[in-house]
Amino acid sequence: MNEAELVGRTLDGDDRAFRTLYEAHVDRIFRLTYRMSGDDDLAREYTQETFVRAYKGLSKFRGDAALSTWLHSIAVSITLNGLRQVKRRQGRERSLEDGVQVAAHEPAATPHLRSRLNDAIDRLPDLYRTVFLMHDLEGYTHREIAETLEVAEGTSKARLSRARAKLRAMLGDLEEEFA
Amino acid sequence: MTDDRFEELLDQAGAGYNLPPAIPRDEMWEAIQAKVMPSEAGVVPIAQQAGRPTWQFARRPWLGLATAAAALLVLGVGIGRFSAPTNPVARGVPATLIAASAEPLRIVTQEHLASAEALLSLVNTDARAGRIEGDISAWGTRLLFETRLLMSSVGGQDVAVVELLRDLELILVQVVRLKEEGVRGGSEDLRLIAEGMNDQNVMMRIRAMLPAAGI
Repeated sequence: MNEAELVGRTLDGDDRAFRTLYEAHVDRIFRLTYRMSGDDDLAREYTQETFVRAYKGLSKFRGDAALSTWLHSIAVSITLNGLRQVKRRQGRERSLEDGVQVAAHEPAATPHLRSRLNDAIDRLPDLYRTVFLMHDLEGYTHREIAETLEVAEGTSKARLSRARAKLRAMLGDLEEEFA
Repeated sequence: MTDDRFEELLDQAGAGYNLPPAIPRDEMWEAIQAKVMPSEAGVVPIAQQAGRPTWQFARRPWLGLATAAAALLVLGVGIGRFSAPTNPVARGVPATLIAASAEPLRIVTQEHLASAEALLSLVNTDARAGRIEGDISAWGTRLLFETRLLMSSVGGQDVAVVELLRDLELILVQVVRLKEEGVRGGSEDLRLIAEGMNDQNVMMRIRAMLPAAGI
């Protein structure tokens, strides 16, 4: 049974068909939400919300794009919105703490390459970070990314290039250590 | 650092960035099932309410008032923007004049928050009842527009107000999206909106900024 038939059956109330669609796509969706959030609970929440939204809005899925692309669009949107909420909440909490704890998270306190790189990736703007994670870490093609984010392929390539340039600039002082 | 070295660093260290653990497929599926099968989960079904009238001015007289308040808000924001200098102290503007120019903005902000409080009360009520009033999304759209206007006007003048407006904006974006979700899907979303709203004490923060006697 192809995806279109599974979608049709799901719309007819066949939950086994939806389970099949879920099984087909959940791994990539979860991996992406985890890469973006770095938190097991958040990744679960965003993945679940993606499929809940998809189920509820399945009648609006016209089949112009692949179901996978549609699901990824929902997942990225939910994750970015969710992370903005989390960041704002954390920002408020952090402002109440003293500066010592904040300073402990400065890059200078984490000299190892991996920690520095992780910090640098965390600091990328959402637009660049999302493309970087999808392309370099999860292996999505520029075409997939472009369809998911509803931008041109050239835009996806440009954002990746900018992401790498920013990472490189942030890690410039590591030249000696890395060599 | 050469290009090759940098690529090597990305390959070696980057691959470990937020490396996903084993995927909890079954646990997530159970949670999804509970949400998308409301009849089994004990959630009040609202699909039967699809035929309800969209506009209910008779039951909700504040709708007309809300429209009037919106017009006042836009006017007030305009006055506030026109009269409030970006850096009044540096420009040597007398303190009395600064206070006078901030007054219209304060009033429209309070008007706006009062209207937002009414909408959020409705969201809370509807979330508890498991139903959605047809006009809630349209009202949310109008308030969202006004919220964004105020956010750009208030600027950094009052951190608490800006924070509140930001939280309000996020809630209103979700309320507006209820229309897209449709009546059936919107019920669950409404509950989630109400939960988020209560988690952040938005209602209490709004009430704290309103005069005790109301507007």
